[in-house]
Amino acid sequence: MNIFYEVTHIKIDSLSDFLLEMGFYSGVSFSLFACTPFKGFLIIEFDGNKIAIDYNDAKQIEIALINS
Amino acid sequence: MSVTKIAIVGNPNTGKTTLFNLLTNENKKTGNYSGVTVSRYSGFWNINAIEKVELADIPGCYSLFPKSEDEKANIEILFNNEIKPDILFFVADSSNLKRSLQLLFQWLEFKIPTIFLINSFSKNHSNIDIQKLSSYLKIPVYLLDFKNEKNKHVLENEVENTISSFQKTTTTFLKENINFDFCQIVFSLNCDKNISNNLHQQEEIRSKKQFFLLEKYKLADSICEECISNSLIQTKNNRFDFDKIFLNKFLAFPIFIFLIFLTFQLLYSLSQYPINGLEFLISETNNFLKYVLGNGILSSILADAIVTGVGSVLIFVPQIAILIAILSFLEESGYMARVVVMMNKIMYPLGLNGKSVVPLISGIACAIPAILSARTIKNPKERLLTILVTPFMSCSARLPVYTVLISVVIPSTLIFGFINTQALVFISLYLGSTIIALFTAALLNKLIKTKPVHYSVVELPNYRFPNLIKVLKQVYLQSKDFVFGSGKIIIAISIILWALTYFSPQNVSQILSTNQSISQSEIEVSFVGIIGKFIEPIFLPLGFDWKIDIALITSFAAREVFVGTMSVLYNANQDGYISLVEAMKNEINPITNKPLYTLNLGLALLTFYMLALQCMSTIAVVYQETKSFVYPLLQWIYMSGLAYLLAMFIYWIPLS
Repeated sequence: MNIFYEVTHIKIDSLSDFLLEMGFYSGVSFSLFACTPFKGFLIIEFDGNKIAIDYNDAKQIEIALINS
Repeated sequence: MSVTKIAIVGNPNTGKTTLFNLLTNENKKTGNYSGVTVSRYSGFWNINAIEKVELADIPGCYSLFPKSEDEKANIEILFNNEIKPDILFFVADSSNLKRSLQLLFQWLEFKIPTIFLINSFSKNHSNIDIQKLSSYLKIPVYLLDFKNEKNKHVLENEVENTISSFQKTTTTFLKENINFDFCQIVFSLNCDKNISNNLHQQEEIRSKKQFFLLEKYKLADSICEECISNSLIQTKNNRFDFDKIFLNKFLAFPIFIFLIFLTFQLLYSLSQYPINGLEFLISETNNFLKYVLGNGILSSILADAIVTGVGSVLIFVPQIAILIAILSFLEESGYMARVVVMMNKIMYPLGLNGKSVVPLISGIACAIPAILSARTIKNPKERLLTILVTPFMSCSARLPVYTVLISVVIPSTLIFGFINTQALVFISLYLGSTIIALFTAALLNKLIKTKPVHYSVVELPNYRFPNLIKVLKQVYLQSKDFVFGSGKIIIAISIILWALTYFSPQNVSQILSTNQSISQSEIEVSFVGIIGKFIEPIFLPLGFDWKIDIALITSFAAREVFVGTMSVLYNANQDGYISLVEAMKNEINPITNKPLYTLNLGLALLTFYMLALQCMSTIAVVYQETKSFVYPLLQWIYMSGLAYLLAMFIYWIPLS
C-alpha cells in the first residue's frame, strides 16, 4: 500500500529551486519509498520517478500526509 | 557545402549520446545514470551530398539554470553565436515525459527550430498519443528507437524539411499568464555578473523564474493528461522494485562489498588462462624471429625490444577487458546511482559528496575520464577534493605492475581453501589506495575552507538488464585505447632502451655484442647502466636497484611502461625469451648473493606504484579542470612524496 504525502514548504531556497526543476515542488504529492528508507536518505517516488534526498536536507522539507 | 549545426539537448540519462552515436557512427560512452556526458562534443552527420550537419552532444540538464560545470554547456550554446545551433533535437525518455516537457518549454522560448524526439527504449510508449502531442506543442514529435539504424532516414527527412523551410518555432501558446521575457531571465541569472551584487534584483528575477517554472508544470500536467493514458503510470508501479534489495538498510552494504570482492576475484582468476596463452605466444614469436632473422641488430630490435616490450604489456589486456566489462555492466544496470546514495553519508564528513563515488570508481579504469566526470558535482570544494584524490585510485595502468610484482614476491596459496593469497594482496592494494584517497580528502577538507553549501539530490534511474553488445563494445574500445595509446609509447621507449642497453660511450658506433644476449657487466657499462647508476642513490633507501630506477623514469610517461622496460632490461642478458616474472625471481642481489626481490622490496615497490603520480595525462587533465598550475604541482609533490616515504618505511620494517 502506498502512503501519499504532500510537500507544503521547502525551507532551503537553493534546494527548493533544484527540486522544482526536477518536478518536485510545493503542492506536489509523492509516496515514500515502499521499503524502509535507506539510512541518511529520504527516497521518494512521484510521477513514476524516484529521487533520493540527503536526509539532513530532507528535514528542511515540510510534508503533510494527505491520505493512505 | 553548407554546414548546419544541430545540438542534442534534454534531461540527463534520456539517450542523447545513443542518438549521437547512431547518427555520427561514433562510439561515445553511454550509461544508465545521470552525468555520463560531461562536456560538449561534436561529430558530423552526412545527410546527403548537399547537406553536412555538425551534430553536438550536450550534457543533460534539469533546467536552463545550471548548477554544475557540465550543465553549463547548455548555456554556452545559447549565448555563444559561434556554436549556437540552427536546429535543436530535444530528447526525452518516454517514461519521463512530464519532466522533459518542463525543460522543453524553456528551450522553446529561445525560438530555435526544434524537433522533439522521444526515446522508446524503456518500452513505456504505447500509450503516448504522438500526433496530439505534436499538435499541442506545434513542433515535429517522433517516437523512435535510438538504436535502430532505420530511424536515421526518418530524421534525415525531417531535418531536410526543417532546413529548407526554416520554420521558426511558435511559442505564443506558452505565453499565457507570463508578461516577461524568459530568455532575459536565463541571461541575467547565468551571464550577468552585476546581478550578484543586487540582492533585490536577484530576488525579483528568482521569483519570476519560479513563476515561469510552475506555470509550465501546470501546462505539462495538462498536456500529459491529454496525451498519455493512465495505464503508463500503472505499468511502472507494477514493476518489481530491486531497490527493496539493493538499498535495503541491512543488505545494501554487504551486497556492495560482495560485488567488489567478486570483481577482484574474477579479475584475478579468470584472466590467468588468457595471460598464460599470450605469454606463450609472445615467447614463440620471439624465438621465431631470432630463428628466421638470425643474430644481428634487426633481429635484436624486433625480438628484444619491440616484441618483448610491447608483448609484456599486451598480456594484461585480458585483465583490463574483464575490469572494463564489470564496470560497464554496473554502469548500464543503474546500480551506480544507488552506490552514490549509499556512500553519501560516508563521503560527507570527508569533504566529498556521494557523487564523488562515480569518479572514484571510474578511476579504477582510468583517472582521466574519472576526473572529467567530477564536473557533475555542484559544490566547488567537493569537486576540487574529488579531482585531487581520484588519481590515488588504482587505475588499469597499475594493474600490469601489480600483477607482475605480486607474482614475483607473493606465493600463490589458498586461505580457507578458496581465497587466493595473491588475489588477497591484489584487493588490499585497491583497498589501500582507496583508504589513502579518503584520508587525503579528509586532510584537505580541514585545510581548504569554503562556505559550506551542501545538499544532495540524486535521481535513481530505473534498473535495466545491461545490453551485452554495448558492454562488449565498451570493452573493445577501451582495450583498444589501452593497446594503441600505450603501445606507441612502449614501442618508442623499448627501442630507445634497447639502443641505450646495447651501446656504450666507449663504442657508440658498435653494438656491444653481436650475440643474442649481452652480459650483465656489458649492460652496466652501457648508456642505460650509466644513467641507472647515476640516479641509483636517490632510490637506494627504498631498496630499488638501477634497473628499477630506469623503469621508474620511463613509467612516468605511463605506468604500464614499467613492465615493458623491465622486460627489455631483463631479456637483454638472456639467451632466449624468458617471462619477466621468472627473470625477476632469478635476479640476485650482488651484495647479499640472495634473491633481489624480497618480500620487503616487492611490497615497497608495490606501495610506490600504488601512490605515486606517474601519469603525464592525469597531470594535464587536473590542470585543465582546476585552471591552475598550483593544484597539479602540489598533487604531484604530495603523491610522490608519500609514495617515497611509505615505500621506504615498508622496505625497512622486518617482514621475514
